[in-house]
Amino acid sequence: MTAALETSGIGKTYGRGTREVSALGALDLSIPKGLVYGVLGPNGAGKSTLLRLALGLIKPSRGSVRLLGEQSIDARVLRRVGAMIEAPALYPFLTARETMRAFAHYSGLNDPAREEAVLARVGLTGAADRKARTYSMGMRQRLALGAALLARPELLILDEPTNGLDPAGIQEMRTLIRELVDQEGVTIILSSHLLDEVQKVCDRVAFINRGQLVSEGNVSELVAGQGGLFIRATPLASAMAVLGARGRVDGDGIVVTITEDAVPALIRDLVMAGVDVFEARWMTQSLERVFMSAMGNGQ
Amino acid sequence: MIAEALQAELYKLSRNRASTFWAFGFMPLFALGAGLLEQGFVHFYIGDIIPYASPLQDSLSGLASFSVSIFQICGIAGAAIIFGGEYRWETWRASLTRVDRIPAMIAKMIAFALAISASMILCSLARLIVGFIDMALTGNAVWPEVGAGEILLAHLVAFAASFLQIMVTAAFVMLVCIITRAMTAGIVATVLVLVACEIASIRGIAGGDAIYLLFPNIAGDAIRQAGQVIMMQREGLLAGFAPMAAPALLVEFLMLAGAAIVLFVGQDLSKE
Repeated sequence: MTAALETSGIGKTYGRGTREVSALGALDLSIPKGLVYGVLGPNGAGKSTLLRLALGLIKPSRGSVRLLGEQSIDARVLRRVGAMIEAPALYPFLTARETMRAFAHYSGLNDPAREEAVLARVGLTGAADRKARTYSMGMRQRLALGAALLARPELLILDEPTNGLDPAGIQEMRTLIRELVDQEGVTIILSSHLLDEVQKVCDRVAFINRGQLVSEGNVSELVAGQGGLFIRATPLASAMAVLGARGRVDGDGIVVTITEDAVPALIRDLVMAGVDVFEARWMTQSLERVFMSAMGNGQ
Repeated sequence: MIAEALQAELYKLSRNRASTFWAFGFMPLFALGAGLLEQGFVHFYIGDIIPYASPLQDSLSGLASFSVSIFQICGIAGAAIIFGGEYRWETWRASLTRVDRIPAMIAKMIAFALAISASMILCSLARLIVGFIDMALTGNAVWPEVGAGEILLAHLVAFAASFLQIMVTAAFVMLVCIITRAMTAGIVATVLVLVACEIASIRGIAGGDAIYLLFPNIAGDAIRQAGQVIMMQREGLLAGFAPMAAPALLVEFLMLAGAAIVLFVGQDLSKE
């Protein structure tokens, strides 16, 4: 099965000589079809550069990229892709309805019913005759998403799709993304700073820092693999004597590195050693902690 | 793909009403309004210095409305909106994920050509109307002593001259917009270059040296004068250079547009 996006040693450098800046190192990445894939990293990590390279908006300094199995990034393959890169790219003098029509012309489409359906799907039917320049950031984001969805793409590339959206809008966006993937089989590649949202919506993520791939994996595995037991008990010294290297004092408690099925036996051992256990709870690791840990390793 | 991109360009132009009006609609209205004011002022205040009207000569001169740099400014603004607008609104990343770069630029050039052609034809019609009003006021008119075929040919030649001249200007605007990624730079740099060309080519107006055909205004004048020779049998100092002037303008257009497209194809759109 061909990957949605595959990069091989791809890199991008701006400037020359002493002014040379590497936006992306030699990146090898294979993003499978049929899932939501998150590209995460701090500002300047190279996320947008990667997405622009994928769309042929910038040329790689080295390496190659394959989009939907195609080596040549041209309109033939790009018309199978919907994209929303950085801030919404809209013509300020067009209304939402006219924006849909203009992009339909560019895509060679003539389906006014589809344009209306997309406007309804992104919740802009009521404001469809207002010019884009009068829109709030959230509305612009919705319109740009609508434009990306217009041609029924196989692959959707979304750069910070929840920028400017209110909490309800973020939830709608999350629902829409899952619907597109689960019901319509669309592959979605997204970048975001909202790690909690990424954890809720993405199946798989890649951490990028300073243009290099730091870590990659399924969200469920990354999070599960980093779980632990939090215990509040006295005396602390007696508890630590039982836990040994597995325990680490964290505030007024202890974080224990242990598998979930070994918890009952551990608590029995603590009680047998005369330790009073006030609290014991299983901690599910957040993607944010995984991210911070990965970024720390990448520094 | 060019047809689809052209459809999108024309649709955007039709919806960007204010900019499109000032770029392509204002000049015909100005030609009409200024012509009417001029005729009214001359007839009612000064008195008819020339006691007859020349409507067809007026319509021919209407086709030269975009020949002087100051009057080209509307067309330049139109070209800057078409070629530089995507940089200003940062919309290349939205359109170029639907259409390839070369068809996108060719479509923009065709959209400009269609819009400026309509504007020039309307300028000619406006001047024709002024000519007829002049005829009504003076009660007299002179007509070319040639057949309808020559009159039409003269208009076509004048149209081709002004069209080629403004297309060279448009290709220059395109090149500047791509290099600078700025709409305003396209306008300012082009106006300054055109004014410089007019000053530098003053001696070329007298004819005598084909080197001046490198200046688009002189090459355009040479072809327009050839049109006047056809219709009014009036000699022009530059008319003899017309056969060389048309290829000169065409080559300049192709060089400028070609350079612009080559640069655009290789341009990184990391930030429009």
